Amino acid sequence: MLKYSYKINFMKFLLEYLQKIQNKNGFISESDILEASKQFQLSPAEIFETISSYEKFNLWTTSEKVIKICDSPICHSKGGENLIKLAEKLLNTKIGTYNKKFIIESCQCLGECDKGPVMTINDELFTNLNEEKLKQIFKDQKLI
Amino acid sequence: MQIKRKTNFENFKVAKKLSPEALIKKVEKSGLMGRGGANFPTGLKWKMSRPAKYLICNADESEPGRFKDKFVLDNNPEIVIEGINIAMYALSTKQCFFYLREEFKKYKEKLEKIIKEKSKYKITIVIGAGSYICGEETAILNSIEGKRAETRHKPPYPSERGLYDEKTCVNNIETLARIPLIFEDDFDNELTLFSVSGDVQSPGVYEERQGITLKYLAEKVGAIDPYAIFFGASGGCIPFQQDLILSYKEMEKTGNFFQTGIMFFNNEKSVPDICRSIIQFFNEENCGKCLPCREGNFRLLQLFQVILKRKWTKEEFQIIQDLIDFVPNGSQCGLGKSSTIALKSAIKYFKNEFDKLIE
Repeated sequence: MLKYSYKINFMKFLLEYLQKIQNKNGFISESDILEASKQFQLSPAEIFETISSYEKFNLWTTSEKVIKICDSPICHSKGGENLIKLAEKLLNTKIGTYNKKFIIESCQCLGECDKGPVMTINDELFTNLNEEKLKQIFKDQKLI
Repeated sequence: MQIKRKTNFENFKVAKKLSPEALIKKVEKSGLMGRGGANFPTGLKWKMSRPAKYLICNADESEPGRFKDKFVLDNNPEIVIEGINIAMYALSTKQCFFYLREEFKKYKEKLEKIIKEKSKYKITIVIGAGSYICGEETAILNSIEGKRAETRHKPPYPSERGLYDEKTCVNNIETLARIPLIFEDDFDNELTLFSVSGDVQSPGVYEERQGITLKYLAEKVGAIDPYAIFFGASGGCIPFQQDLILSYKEMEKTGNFFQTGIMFFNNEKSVPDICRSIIQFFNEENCGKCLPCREGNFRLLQLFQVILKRKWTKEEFQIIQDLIDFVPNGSQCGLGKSSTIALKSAIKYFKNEFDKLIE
């Protein structure tokens, strides 16, 4: 059966609430979780349960620029994997390694397969990438 | 394209002249099938869910190779809102949730403007937080309720016990966009949006009838030396055959599952390499609830990473073949059940490429 606490929070969406915090601070802290648990009358564990199942929520601070390069089938076949390697080389880092300025991540389909390979830097989309274009974008974003 | 047709909510006015029961009968008679992927008759779904407390418009599209929801949102969001209005009238629903994937949050303002100006019913926009599984009709319920993005057991189906334990109807955005078209004279229930990508001259979304041949589509999009065709990540794959008919029935005969996201690959691409990226996709996107899907896909990915360094041993390839059956049999939802279809048909149809990778 459905839990009572979920029912009374109807029309007050936990996801929306968490998204606001995430957008404001870039991550959701322990005190935010405790605050949410008070507001929604759920245990902190239940709030954590939700946070941990969605990719967009972070529990720690992230870098200023999050570079996500798509590696799902179309982008992969058009050289997405090589672009990740090139990005690693250009920025002298490894994929998934935290750095105050930037972090490179591989991500799954962004729904832009007709314009692949694609990547996003903090929600800004870049399409039809190639090695030259990647270098140029990094220069424009003052990453190199 | 029919789906691009401009609307002024005329069809909603026509629909309101009918009683809800008669309207559902009309939808049933039109033969419209759900466009989310499962191909379930829309009229029947409505009949089962009525009177529904909630309607959910599912625009959580994350299947690789499919981008038709974005196309509808870009070109004609008005027709979706009109379709939702008709559906809500037919289902006697007072509340609709419009679920957008996180990447589509830019459409929120545009949609809210249309809703404010034209909609007669209450439509709330909910934005996801980056989870492929939320496209599944029970996981989307959990997501709106603020729970983990995990699927529920079926039955009970959402039409019996859905969102907040009430009767709920979940429809794909393309299905709802086609509802107003039922009232037009030239309505065709076979028309579907095909998303074409890969090694083609003009990738994009095409509106074609189901039942066209692959040759017709390949010529239309300008496919360059087509060699392998993948149907999304979860649909399976097939060598390019000119006379292959693109419809649910015909595709089942080949052991695949029909997906309207069609990816063309030329013979420079390696099929096992594409499979590796598909396994990576399922490895990242599975919710972790069922062990066979979570650990099975992880083990498959490990095995596929082996071939970047060396060849498989015979035993390793045997493990892959065992996992292909083990994962779908032990999984609860559509994601787990379809996660190895592509790999299974790749081994079936491109055996020679896999043989080269075994010691």
